[in-house]
Parts: sequence; C-alpha cells; structure tokens
Amino acid sequence: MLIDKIKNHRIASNLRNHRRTTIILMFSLLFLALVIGGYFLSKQIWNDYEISLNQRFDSAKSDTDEAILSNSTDKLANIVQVQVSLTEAIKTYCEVNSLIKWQTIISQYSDKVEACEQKKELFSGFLVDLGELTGYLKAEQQLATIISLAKTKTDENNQADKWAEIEAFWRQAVTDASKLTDTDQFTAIKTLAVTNLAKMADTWQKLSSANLAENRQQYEEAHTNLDQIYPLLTEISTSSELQVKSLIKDVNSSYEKI
Amino acid sequence: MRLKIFAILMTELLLGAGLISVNAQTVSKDTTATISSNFEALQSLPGVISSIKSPELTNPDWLQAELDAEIAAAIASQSNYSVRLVNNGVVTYDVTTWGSVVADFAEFRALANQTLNDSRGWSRLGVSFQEVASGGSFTLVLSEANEVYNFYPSVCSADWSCQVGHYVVINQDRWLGASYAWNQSGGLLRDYRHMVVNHETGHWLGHGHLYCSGPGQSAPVMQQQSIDLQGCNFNPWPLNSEIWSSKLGI
Repeated sequence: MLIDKIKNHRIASNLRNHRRTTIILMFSLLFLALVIGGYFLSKQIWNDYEISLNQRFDSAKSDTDEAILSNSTDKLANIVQVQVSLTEAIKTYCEVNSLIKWQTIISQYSDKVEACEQKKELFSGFLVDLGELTGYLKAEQQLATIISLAKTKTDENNQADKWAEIEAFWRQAVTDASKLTDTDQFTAIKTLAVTNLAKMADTWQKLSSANLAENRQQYEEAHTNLDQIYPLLTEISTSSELQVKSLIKDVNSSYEKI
Repeated sequence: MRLKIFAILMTELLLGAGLISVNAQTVSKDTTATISSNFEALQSLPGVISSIKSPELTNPDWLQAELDAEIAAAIASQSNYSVRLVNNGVVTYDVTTWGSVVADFAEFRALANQTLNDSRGWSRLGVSFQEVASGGSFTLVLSEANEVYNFYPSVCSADWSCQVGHYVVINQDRWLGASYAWNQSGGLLRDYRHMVVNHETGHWLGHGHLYCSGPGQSAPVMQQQSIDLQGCNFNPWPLNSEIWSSKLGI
C-alpha cells in the first residue's frame, strides 16, 4: 500500500517535472524563434531601407532630369515645382522605421543612415543651387517682360508728339523694375536695370523738351544721347548672362556630386 | 624580348586606362553641357534686349522746315560744277561691295543712309543724300580689308577706310569691330560707324585731316579718330566749323 503510494507520488512528480521541462523547452524554442525571426525581419527591413532609399534618390534625380530636359512651354514653372516638392520630400528620406531605430547603435546600421544623410546633404545642396538658378530666371523673366512692354509701346508711338508719352513708358518700367524682389543673385542686375532704364527715361524727356522748345542744338544733343543710351541696355543682358552662367556652373557642379 | 613584350603590355594598359578616363570625362561634359544649354535657353532677357534698337527718328516738322530752308539757300549759292553733283538739293550715291563681304550689307546701306541724312551730319550743308542704283555722285563701298589696299596701294591700307576719287571706301574690318583706339576709349560701335561714314564722305566733300583742338574737346569728324583721339572726346558728327564743302561749293 505504502509502496503503491510512493510509486504514485514518483509518477506524479515525474509527470510534473516532465511538464515543466516541456514548458521551459517550448518557451525556449519560442524565444529562439522570436530572436531568429526578429533578426531576419530587421535584416529585411534594413535591406528594404537601403533599396528604397536608392530608388527614392534615383527617382528624385530622374524627376529633375525630366523637368530640365523637357520641351514643355512651362518648363521653368515645372522645374520650380519639382524643386519645391523634392526639397520638402527629401527631408524624410533618411528616416528609419521606429521598430528598428534602436539598432542604429550598431555601426553596421548607423553607417547606412550616415551614408544616406551624406547623400541627402549632397542632393539638398543641388536643390538649393537649382532653386537659386530658377529663382533668378523667374526674376529675369519678369524684368524682360517689363522692358519688352516699354519697347513695344515706344515702337507704337514713335512720333514727335508722342515722345513725352514714351518717357512715361520708360518711367513706368523703372517703377516696375524697382518692385522686383531682391535676392542675393538678382539685386545687382536689378540695380543696373533700374539705373539704365532711368537714363533712358531721362533721355526721352530731354528729346521731348527740346522738341517742344524747338531748340535744334538741344534736340541734336538729345538725339545723340538717345543713340548712346540704347546700347547701354546690353549691359543689363551681358551682366545677366554672366550671372546665369555662374549659377549654371554651381548647378552643374552640385549635379555631378549626386 | 621579354622586356619588349612587358613594355608593350604596359603601354596598352596605360592607353586603355587613358581611354576609359577620356570617355568618362566626355560623358560628364556632355551631361553638364546639356544642363547648361537647357537653362541658357530659358533666359529671355538677352533676346528681348537684342531686339531693342535705337529708334529711327523722323525729324519734327519745325526741324524739317529749317533743313528745307537751308537746302534752298544752298541751291541758290551753288556753282555750276556743284550743281551737277547736287540736283535740287539732293546728292546721289550708289553703294557696292568689294571682295568677300560678311557684314550685313542691308544694315550697312541703311545705317550709311541714316548717317548721311542725320540732322547732326553732312545734311547740315543743306543737302540730302539719296541712294541710287548706279551713277551716283559718289560710290560708297563696303570692302574686304585687303581689297581696300589692292584698290590703291599707294594711298590706302588694309587697316583703315579710304577715299579716292569718287569712291568712299569703308573697310569691313573697321565696320565690324571699330578700332583699338576707339574701343579703348569706350566708344560704341554704332557711333564708330557714324563717324567712319562721315569721315570718309567728308574727304569726298573736300575736307582734309584735322587735329584735336585740346584735351576734353569734341574731336573734329575729320580727325583720324580711328587711330588716336589725341585727348579729345570721340565725336561721330561734323563740328560747326566743319560744315562746308569745297566739292559742293558750300
């Protein structure tokens, strides 16, 4: 009877030990599976991070290429649009999934993030240069429109009794050009344009006054001045061409780095 | 023999490396050139400004009336000889080219006519100048530089414009690029063109060379301004003191 009791107790004890071992084993296996699964999952996420980044940078570059090389009539506006949207989008390019962000303490992964940040910095530099160039070209287009308008109105009113009006057209061009937005790149050209356009208006004013006074000497002087003042306008375009060349050089230089 | 093979192999390797390097550079240059050309094409200001030219002003009525009166007075005082050169106040001239001319001939003719008839120019003699197809009182020539010299080597040179007989010859090189002295002084090409037409026509009208009267003064149009301004300010138009013509008897 006692023997039976002891036997039963041993069996029960063995069973309890066996169950505990099984549970420990199962938890160990589960933990191992989680660790291995987690390892492969994070490896996959990091791989995706790298692939996705390369794709994003490639796509960003091809978007800018497409905008620059397009034959669209609104080409400058398209380039500006791409430049603005990429400047915003690129800010998030190197962000790491919060699940694996803690792993950046490992140099293998922090190197990937650092490489991305370096790439991002180069691309951001390119976008800044591109923004400066497109900003300049936009301002230059506005100046060209102002001058073109004054030129058209002059051509349409080139009779002696309209010379006072022509002076007013060029004065308006001075006012409009003065209102153009100043930027580091554009201010020098704007100042030159305002100065030379003012000289133009002054010369037409002198011609008009000499005509009204029927003063031949003053008229001939003003006529000579007029012949001399028109070529001065080329100073504006020459300076602008140099400025654009310099800005293009910057864009090319930063483009080659991305 | 082994050394020779080694040398050949090394040369090939270096050449190969050189070729790769050259190709890589070419691709890079092509890309940047493409970007540059695309952005340069977006510039609108140079196109707008190059289309703006100094307007051709029509003389106001009061000035035209003064000029007409001067013409009438000049006709009244002309000698028999000059009457042949001036018909009803009009001096005719024909225009031609010599040698290989690359300058815009239509522009040359237009600007020469404008210069001759400008109220600041020789029209102040009380005459107007009219281009005719042939048989003008003088012949205005736009000439290749060497042809100026070939025309009359003892008087004319390939460097400058020239006037001999009834030929008023404008040197194409000067027409296209003015002269060193003129450009150094900041003179404009358009003014140089006025000056050279007026200067050579001035010879035909009977003028010799003049000199600068003093530093800061306007140069006489008959001064050799192409060569040296002698301290004078450049001036494309005849001074009051130069408004006479032995040829026309004015």
